[in-house]
Amino acid sequence: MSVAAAQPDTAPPAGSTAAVGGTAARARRRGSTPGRLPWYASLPALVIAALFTLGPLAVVIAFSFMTRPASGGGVVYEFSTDAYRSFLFTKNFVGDLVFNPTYLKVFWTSLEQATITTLVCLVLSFPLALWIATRPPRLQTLLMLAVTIPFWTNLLVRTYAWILVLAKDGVVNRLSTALGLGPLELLYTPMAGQLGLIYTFLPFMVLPIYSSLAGFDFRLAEAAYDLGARKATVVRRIIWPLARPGVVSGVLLVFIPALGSYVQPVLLGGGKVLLIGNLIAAQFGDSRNWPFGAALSVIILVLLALALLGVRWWSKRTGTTVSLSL
Amino acid sequence: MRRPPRALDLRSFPGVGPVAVATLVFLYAPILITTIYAFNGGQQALVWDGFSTRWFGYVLTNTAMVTTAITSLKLAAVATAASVVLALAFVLAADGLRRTGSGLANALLSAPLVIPEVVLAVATLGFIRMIGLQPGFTALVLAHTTFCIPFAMMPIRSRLQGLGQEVFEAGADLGARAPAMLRRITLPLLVPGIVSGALLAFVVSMDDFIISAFLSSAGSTTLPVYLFSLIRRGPSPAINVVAVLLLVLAVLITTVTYLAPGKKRSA
Amino acid sequence: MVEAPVVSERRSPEVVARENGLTITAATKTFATPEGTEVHALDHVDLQIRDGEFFVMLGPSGCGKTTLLRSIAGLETLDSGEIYLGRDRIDDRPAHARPVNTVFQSYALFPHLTVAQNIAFGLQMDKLPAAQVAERVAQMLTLVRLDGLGGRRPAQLSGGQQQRVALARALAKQPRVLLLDEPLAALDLKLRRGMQDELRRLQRTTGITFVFVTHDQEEALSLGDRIAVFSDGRPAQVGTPEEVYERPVNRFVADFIGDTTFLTVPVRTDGDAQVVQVAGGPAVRLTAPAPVAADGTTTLAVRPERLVLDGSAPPIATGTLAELVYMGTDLRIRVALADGTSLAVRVSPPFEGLALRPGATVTVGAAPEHLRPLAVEQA
Repeated sequence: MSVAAAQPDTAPPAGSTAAVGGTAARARRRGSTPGRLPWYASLPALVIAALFTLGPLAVVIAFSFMTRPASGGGVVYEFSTDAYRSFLFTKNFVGDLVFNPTYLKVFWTSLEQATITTLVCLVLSFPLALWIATRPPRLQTLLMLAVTIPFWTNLLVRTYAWILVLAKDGVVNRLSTALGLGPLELLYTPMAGQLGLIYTFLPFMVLPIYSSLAGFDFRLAEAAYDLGARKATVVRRIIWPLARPGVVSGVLLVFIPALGSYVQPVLLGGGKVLLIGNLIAAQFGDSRNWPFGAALSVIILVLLALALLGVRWWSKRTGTTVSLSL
Repeated sequence: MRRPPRALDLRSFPGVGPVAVATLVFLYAPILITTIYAFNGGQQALVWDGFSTRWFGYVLTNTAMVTTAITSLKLAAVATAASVVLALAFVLAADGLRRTGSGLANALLSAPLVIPEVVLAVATLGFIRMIGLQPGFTALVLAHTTFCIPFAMMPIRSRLQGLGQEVFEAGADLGARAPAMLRRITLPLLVPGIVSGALLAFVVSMDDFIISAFLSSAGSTTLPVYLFSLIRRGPSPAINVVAVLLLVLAVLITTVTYLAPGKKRSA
Repeated sequence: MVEAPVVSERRSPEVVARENGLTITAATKTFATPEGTEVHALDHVDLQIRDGEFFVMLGPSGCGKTTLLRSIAGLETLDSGEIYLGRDRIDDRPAHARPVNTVFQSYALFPHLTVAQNIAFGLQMDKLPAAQVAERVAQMLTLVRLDGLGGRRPAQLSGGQQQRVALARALAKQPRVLLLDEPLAALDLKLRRGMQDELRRLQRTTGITFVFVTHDQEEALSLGDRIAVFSDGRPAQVGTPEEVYERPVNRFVADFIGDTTFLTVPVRTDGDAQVVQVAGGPAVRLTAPAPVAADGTTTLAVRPERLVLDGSAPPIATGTLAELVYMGTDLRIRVALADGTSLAVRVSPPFEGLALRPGATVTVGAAPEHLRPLAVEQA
């Protein structure tokens, strides 16, 4: 895009004229980009987003520095860092603060599960996306339809489907009993929760990787073969770099929701493993420690913000465009 | 045309095909099993007792199911309409923002995509309370509209970018003022993007559980919130049927988007 | 000239232009590059386009011709300068309020409307009654020879047909000026020739002023009543095709239009004439005044087809035939002169009697008026 601005003979992209103060102001006053709305038409969306995205974030940060009321939910407007302190420390019976790794472990387990989910999704999605991208065009459309249907199917439905597979009298246990292996304890285990995460987020990885690979001119691969490359080399040197933007957005699209997952660990894992998502939800529900829940939210947001900054830095350094669109 | 030997077929990579097919099976096996069990006539979800559609009748006449489904549909319809209008106005006006401003604006609108849902849910609950609102339909509409905007925006924006500037210049050149331009050129040309955006927003709203769980009240329970409470009690024939109905909705919407004329999936 | 027209109606072309044509004064536009430097897309352009003429703006990409066209259309805003149509100033009006219409390079047909609806669009914007719109649409379809295709969608038409729709759509509003932005660039050579004839015919029958942007010099020569050759944001020369081809004012124009050899040679004055010698050849008396650079040289432009090898014109230099290419319609020859200069010569048929072989010594001749002195560059 920005190259066009250097060529005065072609129409410059609207943004670039903004640099020439007077003209841009004149042009904008007159609404010089035909077919577009004046800039202030963008305000309603921004106001709504500012209110219901920034507002809640501000509130959550504020709450994390407040005091828990003696009983029940809500907060008392009194500054306190107790919420953060109780993330790492607990008061022992004599009232001293001692290090308590319980919540750190919760974070660690969540990170572990999200990482495993992301990796397994990647390992399954890359071949699938590559395979689809190398089919004839009509079949490609059909296969992408097949991948998109689960993506648009309700999360609870997809999670529930695994209950039918894993339950005590479910499909897998019928098979194992028939084979004489006896019934297995499958549902309501950490494994089941992990499986549910992988299953539900798989399409989030396939779609962006396919987008990167779709329309790839496989004559490029042909040229590489012609130059003496082996198949593994072609995948590594040509196809993988091509898929990389899709892989990065797929990783983000899987990792972020997996880190904060709530539904799968509860419905399939039986809530036996405590994860950040459940821990936060619980603070605003049953045990009702809002400031602590808010502090946990802030911690996870900071972690994600750091991760996103890392990705941004990487994308700038390597010149890879990363977008979070599907 | 003779097929070249596999090793020479430039489009095939060893091991890729089997993994791909296995992954597709992995994607569809649970869904298929659910679909089959929805036609189970028995009292228990997983004990097959002959083919029957009686549970469909049960679900479609069950008050709680129907009420929560209607709440969800109403909520999705309102949130979709609102988010599409807001996203459309934003996309059409974003060019007028200065470059840094438009970067910030996009980041703001896309934020719901990168904030874990649980966090957004509890934060919105806190915020709603703070501004003196109670959980309920209004709170749901506001929250759903907000997180639907980025989804509604993506296809509209990619459609607009795909159109290029010249058709709009041609409109102005032929004498169209802003209102005529919007009505006769911009909106008709954006229809495919608007339809895709609306469908995406609708599905995202219908799909939402966590945020709705925190923001719904007794009178405004959505279908996913109700469904979650049912699933927690273990599988049942009724849930099988609801699952299949939601699956059918997904199939319908996906097929519509893929068959829509001039459909080019945004990259 | 037997009978002079009535004196009162006799006005200079400039006055007519100012009253009915398009006048551009001191048009300036600057773009900022992403690197922060500024590029003059238009650099104080003054131009008079006469009413009813076929005016071509020619130049390489980035020379400002398209920016000027878009500024006339109202799709681009000038930083400073004015544009008048007749006596009315139009540069401060929005695009939709200017009595000019554009044929876009990509045609920019509305894909959701039929051919007839596309043509009707501008008329409907003017709130013309439906019956009148229908009548005009039918007329336009006939004018561009697309009768019977009014119900089609643009996507169902060939490139050439889409081009005609774009023309019909722009002409339907009977604009005072029709602006055409490289409209033939997307067509293949044969179609392009056909459309050039078509455009000439349309311009004659409608009498509308055409302003046509192109980077193709042949197209410019064959279409234009007058041509403005653009370079670096301003017209380097404005004139009839013959003027810009035969009497280019500077090296850029000579180089951009047609093939040219440039000869930089010392000049001396002999009485009231300037005399030059090419590569130690015979003295040639120039027929046009030659600007002399500080080092006492002048630069001459010579067209290959004006040079002869058969002695039918006075000799200017002798050299070795270095290269000979048979092109069917002519022979392209490169002659290496004694001082190392290379001269391009084009020889027309019949070739049969010519004993031309690489390595042969040949004498190059030319009429003195075909050695065109160029303005001294201020490089």
